[in-house]
Amino acid sequence: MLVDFQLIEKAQRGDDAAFNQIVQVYRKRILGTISRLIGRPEDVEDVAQEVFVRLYYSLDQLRAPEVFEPWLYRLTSNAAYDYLRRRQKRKGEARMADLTEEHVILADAEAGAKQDSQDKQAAAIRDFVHALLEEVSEEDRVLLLMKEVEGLSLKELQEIYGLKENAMKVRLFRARQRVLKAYEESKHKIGFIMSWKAE
Amino acid sequence: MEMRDQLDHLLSRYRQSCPEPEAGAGFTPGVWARIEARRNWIWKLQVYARGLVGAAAAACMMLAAIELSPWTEVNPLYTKSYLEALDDDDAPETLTYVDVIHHLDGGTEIQ
Repeated sequence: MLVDFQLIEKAQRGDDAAFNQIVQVYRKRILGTISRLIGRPEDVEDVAQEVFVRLYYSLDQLRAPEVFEPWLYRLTSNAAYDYLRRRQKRKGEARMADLTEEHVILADAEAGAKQDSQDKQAAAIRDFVHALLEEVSEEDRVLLLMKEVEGLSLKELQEIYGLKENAMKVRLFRARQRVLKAYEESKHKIGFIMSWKAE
Repeated sequence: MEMRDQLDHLLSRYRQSCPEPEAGAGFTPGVWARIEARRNWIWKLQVYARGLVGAAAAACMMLAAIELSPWTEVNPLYTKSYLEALDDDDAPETLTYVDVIHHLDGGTEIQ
């Protein structure tokens, strides 16, 4: 826990200064998590602000300060999920099946032309992983990233989502299998990523 | 390298490739502005809801007053039971019906 229980209790009682302190302490972590969950730097701050607004209005529902962090993660994953769903509706973004040669060549060319630039390669990795994650629902995408990228344990995920261990395992397994299949089908297109790995 | 390991590796690379964004100077004020905006919205909603509840209660009381007022006439027809209404019914249709049978029977007295 980055803050002590008293601070959370104060915020629960409506102390705005205490809430402000919570925002200051957790904003970096939340911004990082959202950045990895949604993959759109330009929208990260907006979604993170939404998380804290939701936190403010739901603090009174928090049973005990001990479960504050899972609660905050839950709000974060819900906000990210809502954002992804809205974006999906709005744009009907390209799915992995539509990850055309053009898309890959573009990323490849980008990375190939500037191999010295790690930023470009990192951007290519992000694009590729986002395309892979298009294979699963927004909900499973968030769940999978929470587990595989954020490194949350099954127990923590259970606390966040309120699912039973077996149900959680099955869901994660299925989501991972889908992503793995998509990866298998397209990994030949991302040789530059795997070569980067060797560096 | 196994496919699964490759995917794990890719995801760990993904984590490293995602920038750690720093909150801008306007982040926390932005949060408060949104909280205030929502608070105003909730407040407005509460005012409307209270108004609506008040109006509904007033309408209920008015209807109850009308219903209970001594000036409201009660239609006597509806104070009778079904059997009482049947008993009292000497409507001409019954007679007409008997009359028709009488004619069809060729003028013979049935009763």
